[in-house]
Amino acid sequence: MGPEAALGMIVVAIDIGGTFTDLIGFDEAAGRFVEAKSLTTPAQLGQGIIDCIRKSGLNASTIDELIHGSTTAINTLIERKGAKTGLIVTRGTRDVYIIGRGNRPEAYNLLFHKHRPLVPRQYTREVDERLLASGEIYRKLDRSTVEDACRTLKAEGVEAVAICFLHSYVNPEHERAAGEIVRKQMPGTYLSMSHEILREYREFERISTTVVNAYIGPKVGGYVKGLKDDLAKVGFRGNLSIMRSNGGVMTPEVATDRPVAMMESGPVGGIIASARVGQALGFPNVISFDMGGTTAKASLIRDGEPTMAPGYYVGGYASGHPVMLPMIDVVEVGAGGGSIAWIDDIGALKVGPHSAGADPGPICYRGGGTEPTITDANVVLGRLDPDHFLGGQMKLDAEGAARGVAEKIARPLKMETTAAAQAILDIAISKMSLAVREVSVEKGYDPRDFTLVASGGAGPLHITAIARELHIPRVIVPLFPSHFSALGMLLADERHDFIRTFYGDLSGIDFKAAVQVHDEMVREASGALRHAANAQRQIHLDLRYVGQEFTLQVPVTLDQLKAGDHRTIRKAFDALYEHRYAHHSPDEPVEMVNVRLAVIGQRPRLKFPSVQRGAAPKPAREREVYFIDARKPVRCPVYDRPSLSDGMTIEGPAIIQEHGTTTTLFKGDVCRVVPSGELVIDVGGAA
Amino acid sequence: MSKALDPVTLEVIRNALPAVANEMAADLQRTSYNMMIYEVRDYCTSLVNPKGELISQNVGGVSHFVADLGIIIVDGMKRYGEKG
Repeated sequence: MGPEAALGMIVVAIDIGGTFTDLIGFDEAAGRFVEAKSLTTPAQLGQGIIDCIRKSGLNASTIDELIHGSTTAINTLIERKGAKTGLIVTRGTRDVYIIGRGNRPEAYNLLFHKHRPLVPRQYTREVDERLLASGEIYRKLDRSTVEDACRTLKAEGVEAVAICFLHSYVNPEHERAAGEIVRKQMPGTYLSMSHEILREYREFERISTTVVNAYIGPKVGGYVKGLKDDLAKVGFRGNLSIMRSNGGVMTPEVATDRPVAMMESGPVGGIIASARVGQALGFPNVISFDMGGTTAKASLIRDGEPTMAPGYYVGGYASGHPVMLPMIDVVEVGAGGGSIAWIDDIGALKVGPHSAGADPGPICYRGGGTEPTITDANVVLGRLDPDHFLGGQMKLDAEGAARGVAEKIARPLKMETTAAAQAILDIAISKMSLAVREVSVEKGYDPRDFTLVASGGAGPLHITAIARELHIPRVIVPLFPSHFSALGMLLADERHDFIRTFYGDLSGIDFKAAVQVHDEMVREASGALRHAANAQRQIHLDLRYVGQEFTLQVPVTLDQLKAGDHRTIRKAFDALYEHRYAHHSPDEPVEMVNVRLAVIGQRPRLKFPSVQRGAAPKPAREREVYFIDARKPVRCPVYDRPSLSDGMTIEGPAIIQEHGTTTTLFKGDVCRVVPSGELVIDVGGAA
Repeated sequence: MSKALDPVTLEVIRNALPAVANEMAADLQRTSYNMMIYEVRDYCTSLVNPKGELISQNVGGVSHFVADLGIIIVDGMKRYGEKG
């Protein structure tokens, strides 16, 4: 079944970032986009959203659907502003969460520290109960010990409780019973039970994920509820959806119970949008590239599907908090418009990871910045136009940028200023190319088979150079590149991911039981699903060779599970293993570890307007720009993007400017404007 | 400025060489059957030239392995020659 048409809906996405709250809305009946931006007000995020709606000129009561992405969840954790949290565990496992794993990820870091637990030891209480790995009860839950734990935690003023029992991923009976006691003894306390958050083995990771959910629960849950109320007050009667880390959206009710699912929702909007734009233009294999002020992010999309990571570590692998929920796989490098260029002790030129950020910002922003940044280098080379930045709202200080690059970089390295600016960009591009390599080459994909989709304020400025570096033949600069994350939220489907540990030798596994596990997950999904009519299901098995630790997620069909077709499944695993690692072992036994189910409820597809057809493009002006030769500028045409129409072709060298970004076309690059308005660039010399 | 000291090329190569070693390390860990490798990461991957000189090493690699790796390469070269 295909997705239904949206039929004249008004859909709005609001993305709260660290500095700005972005709104992008689409009125389908009028075929019109609206945009608005307001400063993020951390103390009153809900108010920021209402302000943004007001600025956009939309009437809240006419909005059919509002999708919201926010950094509230991750900020609550990183800033450690969550609730006073207690943890109830099986007797004998009190310190599992504090000890974590026994490895040494940074063996030579003298200042190394482990994760800093969100629950102090005195709020971790043990109760009498024990399950075997099979789920069988070895020792029945002693309810009085749970009541004791509740009394202690209540006396301490705990606001949230996590329950995580040994092997409860197989049999949640004891956890449920303990949960009921907590609800009765500690009314009003936020409760998270591991079997509702993550039914996967591995004690530390399971506890950590459940604890994170409890820790951020009261604040984030309260935020989502408050937002609903605030929106209702201004007359909003449509559907509210919350963006989650897996690239889908969820209802506010699910978000209130599982706020941990929205933890990494920040960068995913742009990736969803990249996937959709690529597919719409006939390029299902794309690499999304987003470059903002402090970092650049790359993510690989194959056959229109973003790559998923099974989990992530908030704060990094070594010292961070594991959260084992699927998220879109993103590789981030410290190179953004504000990244600072500097010279290290042995005289080598470095770029980043330090960023001038928004405050003081690059030198050319006139905000008191004194260190040359990537943005300053672009100004020196004439690629950014000091008079037309942000549509001319912000005059850039070109002289200051040149002075900074000259004093801090060119003079110590005995180079010309423009050559130094070029060198800064060369290094930044090499760094960012490594991020693109990491999502492609390292996973066994040849970047030359992909199309790059550039977004973020600084993405289109550097994308053709990155493409050339990696021999990627084609680049897309989408509509609204600087609001791309919000645009992606408009397009995202509803998505729920489930996992169950189901362990055994693949050839001898009880497939009937596996199908039952699948059916249970389907039932659980149906309770959470708003767009059930067009729901699609994807099943994956986590498989590995017996004796290994790491698994690969192998896509399977329900029919294969029902038929117990372990031979076909195994062949698919061998093929995937070969693709990923360039070898496989057809004679080694294979074991299954987890069953995964993704349920995707397709939201109505919006029909975006197409751009006008026009004849030859007319440049707005001409400008001197340094391209490949940093000694001699080239006088090249500058086009205003809004003036471009369908069917136009622009050959480099040229510059295309729009409100939030600038696209650089080098000699040999050929840019076409397609009917839906995107720029499709054939990169010269890349093939 | 002499070509040998070109700071830009130097930095580009310096980014790429550890990336090669890190790619090897990730694959070794993810395909390993040994707890000391997949859990503790008690190994090191590196690029070594035929003289046994270290060029780059994976981040977090255990350094005493690097001392051994050069010897193995030199010994291998001695036994089997440059073309194997």
